[in-house]
Amino acid sequence: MIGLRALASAAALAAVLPACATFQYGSGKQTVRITTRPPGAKAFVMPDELSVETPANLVLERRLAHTVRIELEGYCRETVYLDRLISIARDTPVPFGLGIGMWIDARTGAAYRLRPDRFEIVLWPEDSLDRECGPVGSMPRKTPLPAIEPL
Amino acid sequence: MGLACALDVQTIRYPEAAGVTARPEGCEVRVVDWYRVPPASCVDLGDVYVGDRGAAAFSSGGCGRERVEREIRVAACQLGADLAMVRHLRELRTSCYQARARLLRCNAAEESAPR
Repeated sequence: MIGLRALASAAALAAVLPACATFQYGSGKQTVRITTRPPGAKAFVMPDELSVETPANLVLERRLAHTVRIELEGYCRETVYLDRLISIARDTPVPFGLGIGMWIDARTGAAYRLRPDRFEIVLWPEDSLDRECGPVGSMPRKTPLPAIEPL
Repeated sequence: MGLACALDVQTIRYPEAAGVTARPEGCEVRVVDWYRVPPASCVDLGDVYVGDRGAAAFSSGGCGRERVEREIRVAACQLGADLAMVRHLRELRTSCYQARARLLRCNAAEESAPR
């Protein structure tokens, strides 16, 4: 009788244990640090429609992929793609990773992590000799700058 | 027999996509590598993430590259895009093919292959 009860308890524990990621990360949100050179750029986060001035810490949902647009007047716009990957905590402990815990982790978002979790973006002036502005970011200059009028 | 595969498709619509109408279902979308340079006439309308929702960890069936590319094409048509630039998100913890793709609308006249 005791053996059966112990077995049932072990099975129940095995089912719930993998929700470790939820215990570890709590709310399913992750802080992403964003800095730019120069600072003071506007960072617009999609799909959250969140707007901040750099440098800043963004608190974002782990279960969503995000796209951050960085804009500063006189500089090329840059875009950063935050990818959603599976957190190592979801699979811990690995042998028990088949229970409802995984489902809980996925539901809360704790099963995931965002990458990169911090980034520094160098903004290039629109009239840079080296780079020109592209649709989502600066790229090596192929178009020559307009000739400078002689004084 | 494994569990049914669960793919998570998240489309992010940019402000530039406002006013762009969806293209018909099954529309033609060119899929190219993320790191290629698109024609200058192309406009980014959004991007899409296709990844493992969790249950797919049990089974590799139905979340391979072909299905993921099909999902990307569907998302592109819904957004009104005709070009998808795809990047593979490699991960050890899933047997699924995961990807992120830029979705662009290019002028019909300049629909030649990206440079």
